[in-house]
Amino acid sequence: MADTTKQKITIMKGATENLSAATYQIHDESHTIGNALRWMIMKNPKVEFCGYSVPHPSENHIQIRIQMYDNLSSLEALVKALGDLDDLCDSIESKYATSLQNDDYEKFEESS
Amino acid sequence: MASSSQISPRRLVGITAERATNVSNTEFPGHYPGEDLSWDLQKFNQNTTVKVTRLSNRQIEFDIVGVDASIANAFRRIMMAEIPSVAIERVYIFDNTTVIQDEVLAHRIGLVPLNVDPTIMDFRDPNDENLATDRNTIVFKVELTCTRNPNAPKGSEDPAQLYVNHEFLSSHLAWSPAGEQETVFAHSKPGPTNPNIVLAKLRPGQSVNMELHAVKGVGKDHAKFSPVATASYRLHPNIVLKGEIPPDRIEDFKKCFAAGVVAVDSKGKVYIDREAMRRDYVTREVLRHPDFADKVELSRIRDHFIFGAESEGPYRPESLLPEAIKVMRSKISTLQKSAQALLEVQRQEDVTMAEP
Repeated sequence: MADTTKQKITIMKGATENLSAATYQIHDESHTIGNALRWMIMKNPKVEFCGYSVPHPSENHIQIRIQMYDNLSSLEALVKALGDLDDLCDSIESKYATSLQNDDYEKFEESS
Repeated sequence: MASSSQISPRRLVGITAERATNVSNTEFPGHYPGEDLSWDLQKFNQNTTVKVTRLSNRQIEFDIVGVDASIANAFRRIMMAEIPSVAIERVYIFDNTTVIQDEVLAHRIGLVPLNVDPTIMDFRDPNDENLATDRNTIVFKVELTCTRNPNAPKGSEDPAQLYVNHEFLSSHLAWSPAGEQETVFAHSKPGPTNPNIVLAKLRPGQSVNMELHAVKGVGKDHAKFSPVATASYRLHPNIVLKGEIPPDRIEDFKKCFAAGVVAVDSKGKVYIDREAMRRDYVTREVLRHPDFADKVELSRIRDHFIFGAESEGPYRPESLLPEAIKVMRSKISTLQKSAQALLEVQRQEDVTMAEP
């Protein structure tokens, strides 16, 4: 386990021991990942609550709060959401590539 | 393309005279009884469309239909702030006798878009500011002195005729190759994408002499590293007629919308042109007329994003979204590694906790 990957996400104090409710601090990230991840975590029916915040604009990190039903692990929900988000990106990427290949769009030229 | 009668009211953001209604997405598990709205890749693949609509050498327009605003916004933000590009970061001024102050000129030079492919360059190590190598820094030199043109036509007042080098242009940046750069950049010489940007104006006797170092960076550090001039999205407009428009009011009704949105068929009946509707600005002008206000319903489709991006720099417009997705996926993969590591720690602790 490299130290760099270890520091990217930290679990903030106050989390329940089984991590069914926890706040994760993600370093060097912003609304870009925060909001997308929050949406994907909320798509999980086992999640009771999920919200994110950028605590201060001069501090380069975000916080994601996840609370689970049935004492499930919020960390597992986070890992699942990341995987699903990657699938989503992959899907959009291939749909875009197909559309570009289909060549069914208006083309025009502009001088720079 | 969806027609108004088929669009579920759940997908519409209502636009009334003084208020936007149904603003938030509600498609989450547990929101609607008896409906499973949890993430399902197969359903997502069925319900989502991505379509390029317009493309030029400078800009692209494409639609993404069926995603949440948070996803669309992530792509927009990444296009502007996190796709890397190369720009001039350090300006060493040996001589600048123009009327533009050193720091202002340096700032202007930094904003010049360069044609350098960022994939062949490394990021400079931020902890070792002085470590410039041929892999992470491109050097340009500028040496320019303005003089009188001895052959200027008599009586001319045109500076272009009177003087030589009366303008410091982006084309004056002369690339000075180092190390392996000559072979790496053999196919395209580093330089500005536009050679005609005026950086300073000179008069006889004034001169500029400087060395410029270009490095790779991202837009969140400085806007000069942003590969796009703009990257934005808007929601697809949706206009539904609710009643008949009297023939004598048709012309006024037409004027409430973008050109071509309101059309009249051969029988004199007013209808909304669905192709043109896409271009409407949804100004709500129509709602200001008391006799039109109840004849029409304005809204936007919450999950239909019309993206527009103008490329400025080395990327072709059609490669902006793939680059953004690449950045997004690399972010996800670092997070995945980190979360997985935490998960392993958690499991080991569970084991030790169970033992005593």
